[in-house]
Amino acid sequence: MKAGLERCMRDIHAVGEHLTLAPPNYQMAGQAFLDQYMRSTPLLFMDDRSPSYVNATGIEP
Amino acid sequence: MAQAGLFRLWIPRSLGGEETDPMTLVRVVEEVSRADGAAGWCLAIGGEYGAFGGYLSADAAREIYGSDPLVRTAGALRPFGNAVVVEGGYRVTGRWPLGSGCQHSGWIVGGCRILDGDQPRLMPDGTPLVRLLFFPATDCEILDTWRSIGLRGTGSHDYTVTDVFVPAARSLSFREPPVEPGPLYAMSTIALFAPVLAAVGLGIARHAIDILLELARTKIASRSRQSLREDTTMQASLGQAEAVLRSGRAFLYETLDEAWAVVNAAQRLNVSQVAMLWLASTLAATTAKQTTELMFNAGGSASPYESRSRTLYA
Repeated sequence: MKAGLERCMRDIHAVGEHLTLAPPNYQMAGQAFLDQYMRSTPLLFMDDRSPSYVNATGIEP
Repeated sequence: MAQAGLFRLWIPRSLGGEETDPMTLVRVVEEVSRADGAAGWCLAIGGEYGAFGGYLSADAAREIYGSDPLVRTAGALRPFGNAVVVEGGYRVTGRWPLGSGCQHSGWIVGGCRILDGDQPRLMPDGTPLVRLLFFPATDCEILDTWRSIGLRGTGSHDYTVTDVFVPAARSLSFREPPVEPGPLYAMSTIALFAPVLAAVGLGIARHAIDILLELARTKIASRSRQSLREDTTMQASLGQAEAVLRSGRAFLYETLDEAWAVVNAAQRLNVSQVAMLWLASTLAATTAKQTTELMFNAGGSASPYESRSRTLYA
């Protein structure tokens, strides 16, 4: 059980390092809710299938 | 996991996959991660990448996802490769980090900048054109670089390809419409991936609570000489952990349910709805971390100081 809790700690910190789950995403969400330009968030910018997304960010189709 | 079909949950039905709703894969990853975080992470990546079968052209999708019932895909999406346009496809050279699951996968992907000669091809807004290319694992060299102290079993090594030819059909762009008509593939792809990765954290945190409950049955706290289950600080930590974890988890599933309803109504997610998926995933991961830390600290000397500091300052 000792090893179990230690491993949970090591693993959970590794999970939180991933770009898609990192704390800067809170700011990104705030920008989205304010309808701000979001080009500075590369992964969201890549994730660009939606016409409404294109319009919201001001990027030409 | 492959034998149980877990890597096929998001592969299109037309290719023999399950094409489930997003919540199903999230729940399965959460449960596997409760048993083993590294196994859950590998399933998260390989399970998510099954969705790529919905974006590839029919022949390439069949080649990669429709021919081997045990197929697993791995690799990194970030554009660390250069793909030079040649007749019929690309010649690719690149090195990518964090290839979780690359050692057990038959196909490995890599994000690439598309080059005409030595010049990056640009999109109308002036940014480089990026595509995701698929390599047979035999075309990749895996470098033994994964030295993390967490999720060690994921084998998230660097990998390289050197002047490998990739047919044009064996590539996709997140800016192109999906080939498959199902609602799963109408979701915003990368935003859809975040909840699955967050589920790994939820499973690990639940496992930490499981461990503490077991400890509480048997452990005597050295300072108070009383059973850990009688320790008021531990009791408060346990209550707080349960509340924190369930809050993050509930928000994640609620947000996924809402997004799924949108695409099932044949609508596209708007930017706020995409951002909400990211937000819910990030909060789920944050609450999972808080929960695990609460349980780790409540475990007292069952969680030695040396390991704590090594982890916290890693």
